[in-house]
Amino acid sequence: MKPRRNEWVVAVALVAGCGARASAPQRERPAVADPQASLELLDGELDAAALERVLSLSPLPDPPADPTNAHADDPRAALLGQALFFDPRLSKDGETSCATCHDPARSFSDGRTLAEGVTTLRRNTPSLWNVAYQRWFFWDGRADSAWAQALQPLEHPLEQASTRLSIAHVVHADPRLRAAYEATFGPLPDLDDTQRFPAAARPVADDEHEHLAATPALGRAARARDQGSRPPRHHEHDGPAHFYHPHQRAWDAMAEQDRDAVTRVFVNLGKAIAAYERRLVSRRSPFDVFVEGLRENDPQKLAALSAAQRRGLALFVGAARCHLCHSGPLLSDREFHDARVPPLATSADGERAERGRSEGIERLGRDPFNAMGPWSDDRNAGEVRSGFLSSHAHGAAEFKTPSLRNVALSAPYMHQGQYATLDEVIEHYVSLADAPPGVGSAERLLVPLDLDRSAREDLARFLQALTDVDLDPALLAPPHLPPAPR
Amino acid sequence: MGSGDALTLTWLSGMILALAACSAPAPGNAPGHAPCEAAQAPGQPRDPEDPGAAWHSATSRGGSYQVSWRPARGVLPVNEPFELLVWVEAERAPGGPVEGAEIIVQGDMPDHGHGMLREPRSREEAPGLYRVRGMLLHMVGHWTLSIDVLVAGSAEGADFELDL
Ligand code: HEC
Ligand code: HEC
Repeated sequence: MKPRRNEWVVAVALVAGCGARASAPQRERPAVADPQASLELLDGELDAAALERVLSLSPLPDPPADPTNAHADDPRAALLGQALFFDPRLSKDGETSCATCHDPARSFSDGRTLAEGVTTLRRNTPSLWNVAYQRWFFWDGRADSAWAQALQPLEHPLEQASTRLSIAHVVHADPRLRAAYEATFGPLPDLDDTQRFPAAARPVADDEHEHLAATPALGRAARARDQGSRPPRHHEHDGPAHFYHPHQRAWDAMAEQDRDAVTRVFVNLGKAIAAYERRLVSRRSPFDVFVEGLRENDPQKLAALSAAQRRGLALFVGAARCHLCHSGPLLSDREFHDARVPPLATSADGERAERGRSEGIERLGRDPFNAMGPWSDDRNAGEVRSGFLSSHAHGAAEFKTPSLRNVALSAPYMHQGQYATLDEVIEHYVSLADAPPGVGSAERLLVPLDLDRSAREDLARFLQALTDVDLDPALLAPPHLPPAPR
Repeated sequence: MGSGDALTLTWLSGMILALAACSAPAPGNAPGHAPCEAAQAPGQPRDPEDPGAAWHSATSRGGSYQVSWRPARGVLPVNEPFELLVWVEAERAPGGPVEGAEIIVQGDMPDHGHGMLREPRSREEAPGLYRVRGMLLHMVGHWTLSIDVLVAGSAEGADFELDL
């Protein structure tokens, strides 16, 4: 411990006046008409400090700007991105699109323990609701923008397994896609010239095979849980890259400026997909209506939550301390913790130990599409985002805190889908009975909770009050792109 | 921040602010929450561009420096990137600003077993005045900030506590 003389207690007062509800100045929350009246309407269920914490969870503002994507808010880009999101032609087997795993009918997820691509993957498929509010992408945050994230599954040999050349050809050959692309991003390169632009080519990362495939034990564990789910498809995929991969060979044969032109197209397609994803916003759940009621002293809106849900909310921001990590209007701090969830398969099954965030930081640093790199539209903003990361600040296997908005719709839960229901999740937090022994600086926040059965049920009911799927139905299916101008 | 001239930070003798609580008045206080008194107190460096800004000060562990800091934009945001201004003066004669140092800021949450997930970096903006970029305090709760002053290979820092 450090010496304690000369210390100053800097009280950044929360409620009682001084300076700041220490929130960023550009994100002011609406005021509360009469806090005392709200507390009275709630009949003592929340005290003033708990009320303040509840108010910090709603409303969800508009998605934050993404200066690294100059097209993030361009509706034409979003329409193109939507078309790409649902387009199975952007895959090697011609059957797999983003929507195969992120199915709008399943809350933009797949209902599986582990994702099923060319083979079983290592991770659970996250929902894409409110993804534009994230700061990091993937469970280990190995991408730092939505557009850079979108580029990974397209080329990953176990996901869509396509190449940036193949994808550029698809867009070029489809008059509507091509017109939509060119209206937003300018002319495509002359992809008809197959001498310069081979049918398939991409740079192949040395380590791409290390990462995504589940071990046999992990795959079996996932399938045992997803009984009745379709067995994995047995597609061939390219073997480990210790040979000169044909995609790499074709890539190396291209002129540097043609490679850059194609990568530019690829990046633009990622930016279009991200523009579509920005529209998947969910922010008026019964809980949000309830918080409006608190601000407006409106008993009718307060009735949006049942008594049990209100008790669950009081636990969430009180005794159960969920709000410490599931904080802010996203109900996520957008950072990483060890929630002490046991892995689906262990090293005894031949599974390598997950390193979580510290590995994510290393891979982000190597990602040519990171926000500080040449393809970012604002490298300074990228530096603020990603220029100060510290992989040694992260203990063993930390994963991103998921948002809890619409959480009731995206079972199973956690990075490997370890829990089938919200009740199981809550059981984990309450007893920690299944938690692996803490390593190093384990999360000291998580301690067993003294919650009886009815309190656990209240907490689960509260999580169910975070659901709002009211979205323009036009966003849930492939869009009608206007025909190409003749 | 302007030129060195614009930053004639003066260090008045000895005394320190009682409970150095307030940031500069926040633009968006909820109605009914009075903004803090502009806390220009004796013992605080004075910033002519923002004379009302309150600095938090302490003597470094070995007694060599007086270390003062404030969030560059007045408020200390929760879970958003921000910058710190750090002002370092020599405690021992002849005193004066400490130039050419590197400032290393670490944040810890002793109750949680983890700390700040960033490694900020500093840049000297005027003699003795440093801007520290890359700060982010991702959770509410009790934090300790240690601000180390690295000069000619040796580091000596001061400790602060804050509750977000
Ligand atoms: C084979 C199934 C599959 C396909 C196809 C797929 N994804 Fe994913 N997606 C996943 C899995 C699994 C993860 C989590 C992987 C990880 O964290 O390691 C993920 C993560 C994400 C994330 C990060 C979400 C977050 O909160 O961190 C986004 C965004 C995303 N996918 C979008 C897309 C887009 C866009 C496409 C199409 C270009 C796509 N996905 C194709 C399975 C898939
Ligand atoms: C220490 C920070 C922390 C605290 C406290 C915390 N969580 Fe979590 N939560 C996480 C992290 C990190 C994950 C993802 C863990 C993983 O996948 O390994 C998570 C995952 C979840 C999930 C799964 C979401 C999904 O989409 O898979 C739910 C539900 C959840 N938490 C609810 C709660 C509730 C309820 C509480 C209070 C009892 C709580 N959390 C307390 C950090 C925390």
